Amino acid sequence: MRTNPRRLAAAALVTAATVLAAGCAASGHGTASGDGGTTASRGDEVTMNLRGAPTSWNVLSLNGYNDLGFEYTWPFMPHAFAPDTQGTMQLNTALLASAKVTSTNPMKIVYQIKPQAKWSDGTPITAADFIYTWKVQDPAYCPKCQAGTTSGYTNISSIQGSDNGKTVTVTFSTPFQPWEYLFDAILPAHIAAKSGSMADSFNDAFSQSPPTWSGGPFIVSHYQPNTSITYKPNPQWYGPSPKLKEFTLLIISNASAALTAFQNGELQVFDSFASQSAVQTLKEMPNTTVSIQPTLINYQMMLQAAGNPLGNRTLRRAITIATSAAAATARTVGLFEPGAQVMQSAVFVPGQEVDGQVGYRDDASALGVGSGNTKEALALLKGAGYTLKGGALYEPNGTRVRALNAVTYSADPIRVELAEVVQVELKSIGITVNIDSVGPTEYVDRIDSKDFDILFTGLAFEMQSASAAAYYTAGAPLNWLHYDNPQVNSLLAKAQEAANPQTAISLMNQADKLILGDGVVVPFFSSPNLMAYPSDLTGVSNTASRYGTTVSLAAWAYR
Amino acid sequence: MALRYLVKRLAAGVGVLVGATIIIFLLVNAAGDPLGPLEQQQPPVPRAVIAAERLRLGLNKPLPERYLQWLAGVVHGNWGPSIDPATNIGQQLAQRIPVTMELVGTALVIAIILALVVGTIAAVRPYGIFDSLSTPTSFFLLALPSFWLAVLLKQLGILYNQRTETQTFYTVGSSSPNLAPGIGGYILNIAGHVILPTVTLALIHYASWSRYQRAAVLDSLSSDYVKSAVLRGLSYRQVLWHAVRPALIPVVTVIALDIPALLSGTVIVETVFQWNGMGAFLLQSITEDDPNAIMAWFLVAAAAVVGFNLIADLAYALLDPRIRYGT
Repeated sequence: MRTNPRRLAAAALVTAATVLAAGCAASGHGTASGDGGTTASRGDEVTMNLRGAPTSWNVLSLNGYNDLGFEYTWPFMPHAFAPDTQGTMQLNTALLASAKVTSTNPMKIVYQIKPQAKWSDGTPITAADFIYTWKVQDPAYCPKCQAGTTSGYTNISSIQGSDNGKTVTVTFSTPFQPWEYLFDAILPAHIAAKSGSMADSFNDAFSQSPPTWSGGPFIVSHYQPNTSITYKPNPQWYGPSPKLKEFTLLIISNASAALTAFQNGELQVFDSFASQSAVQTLKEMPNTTVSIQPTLINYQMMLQAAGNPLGNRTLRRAITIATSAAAATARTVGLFEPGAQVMQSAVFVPGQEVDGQVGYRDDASALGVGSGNTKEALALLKGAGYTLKGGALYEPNGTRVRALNAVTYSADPIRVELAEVVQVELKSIGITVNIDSVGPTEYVDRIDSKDFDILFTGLAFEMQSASAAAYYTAGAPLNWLHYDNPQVNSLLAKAQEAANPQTAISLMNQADKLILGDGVVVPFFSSPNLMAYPSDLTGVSNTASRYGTTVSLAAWAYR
Repeated sequence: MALRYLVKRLAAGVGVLVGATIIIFLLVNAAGDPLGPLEQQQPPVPRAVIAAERLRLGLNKPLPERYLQWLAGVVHGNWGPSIDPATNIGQQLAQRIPVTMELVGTALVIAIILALVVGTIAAVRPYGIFDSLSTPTSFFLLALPSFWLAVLLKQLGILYNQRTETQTFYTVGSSSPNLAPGIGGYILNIAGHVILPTVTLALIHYASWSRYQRAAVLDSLSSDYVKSAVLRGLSYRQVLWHAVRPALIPVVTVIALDIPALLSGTVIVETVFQWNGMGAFLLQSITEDDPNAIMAWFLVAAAAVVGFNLIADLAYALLDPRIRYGT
């Protein structure tokens, strides 16, 4: 009688079947192609992925002032201006009736807050909120406030309120050209007043807990740490009513996990950096709209401007001429975005505007930067005394040009590919490039210690002249290249103070020509953002700005 | 006597953990400046703010002082400041340990039961049909990378959902947000989230454990005391129990030694399935260059390894009455 092995086998099968049955019994909460299988009907709920957990609920704080922070705070914060799909700041007509520069010397801006604009507890939004938002971002008033940025706020000398606080007059001690980026998030002064000092409210009260208040179309209804944030419509919202009854951000830090969740119906909206495999997968899904939008972050190759051998301007010029931006674009983003435009400017992305006027100019072509013209590069080098022997480049003194160390970011396949393309191209002018493809921590360390000859990176140009100055002005914290051109320093400083957008554009493009001519940068293309959502979901806008895709949330609705 | 043995083992375990803290502290602090990303932020962060952060994190103090301060804090339940001021490392651990325990515990039970049953059947009928199927299956699973198995199971789950037009399997998280009220729906939702990651983790370890169990039972079946049991006329079930019980000792050893591998497996499985457990916490801490959080993770993992090995030692005494500690 040998029944026991069979009984054991049966037990094994029963165990396996029980586990499977438990899973199968979890069905019945909706379809795989539609909602996340949880609660209410399809027509009024949307779940979207969020690339990381909230690090701070105060988007203006040190740990909150980033793309991610704006994504999850935008729905409940009031904003003076909001970006359109091209990333150009437009007046937020829900909050403001107008915002105008009424004087240029000194620079004065008058904001007219709409009478109905109020916080979710019924307190009106007034000049007091603007004053608080300004002071917490100006170390002169709040040295202990850990603000993510002070740009522009330190230029303000005073803010006056009138008409019961609904007229806000901002006076600047020094003009600030990209003023539309100020007050991109406004904090409630009356709630801050209950939390002790300005620093206590800013650093702690607003940062550490999900807000129970709102000045935007939605309010946070539930936060599950590291898992999800749920929003419901703000009952005191003063603008056009949002269509959705519930919006959930599901925290998924891994892009491929988010993609499979979207395929499985656990997400209705997918938002991520673009990659060829993701685009291909999404385009094969039925009834799905796929949107690829260039952003105001652009990929660039940057070169050290000091030391041996890149301290030599001619060598740098030759490198930037021998590099083909078109080939690099075609090999990377061009694989899934055939219309990807090669950038010809180091300070603007294509289509970027300053106060409604296009700032982008093609400053690179005339200089040959990014042209891939090997003959011109070799002629330049020959004219400077360099020689090419046996496939290697030699300096005028006969020393072989040493191998250059190129640092790129291993987690970004586009940056890795760019490095490989350039490595091959520079071989044609006798330069050997060794690629260091490093992880996030080492990448930041190498940049911080300026330990590279060539850097493949993505730079944000949201704040136009202020952004350009941060990278290319001598002594600026983000000038990793030891770059110092007094003319560039002066032009960018004047551009930041220019009240007239045409003046600012002209000054920035003059600086751009000098920067490109000095051979410290080769712009490639604008970094694309990828979104996918059901074809019957309207109002979704894949914006070019750093403020994220929730900018248009109030307009999202199923047909 | 057994109590004295237990106390001695616990003391030794504490010694191991103290030694581990020194190694962990030195390695983590040699990895770089945690404020590097802050210095690169754009628009630039004011220098005074960066200086304040350095002070808050204690990075301005000498290394030995920082170690002693950290160790004293840990003893009192204070894991030190996180690189993110809003994060409390202790709270994070308290939230994430149960999540990982849910994953690990379920996978451990499934893997142990499957391994013991399959290994025993294969040993009792060596080279039979069952053994001929289970053996290559085990080797196949042993050779399979865990992340690949996880991705494969996710795709199979999606395919099943699409074909049946149901939401049976979930691919991210340990539960869905905003569940409708009701215990039934809650349990079903949890099951739908649990099944794929636990099966992934379980299959990887079941494969090697079943091989050990097969070998151990085979060895035990050929021993003299089993032959004696047969000759004494004991029933088949009794003989089998006589063979299987001592064969569990090597398997218990292997399971205890495999705990570090199980924990490292959770890093991959939690990443693929986006569970907010200890594995995801480690990756997040490394990405954010949060030294205190990284050290907390390693210390918890070290404590788990020490603890499981102690449990294994105690299990020997239960399984084999010949083993007596302290004599």
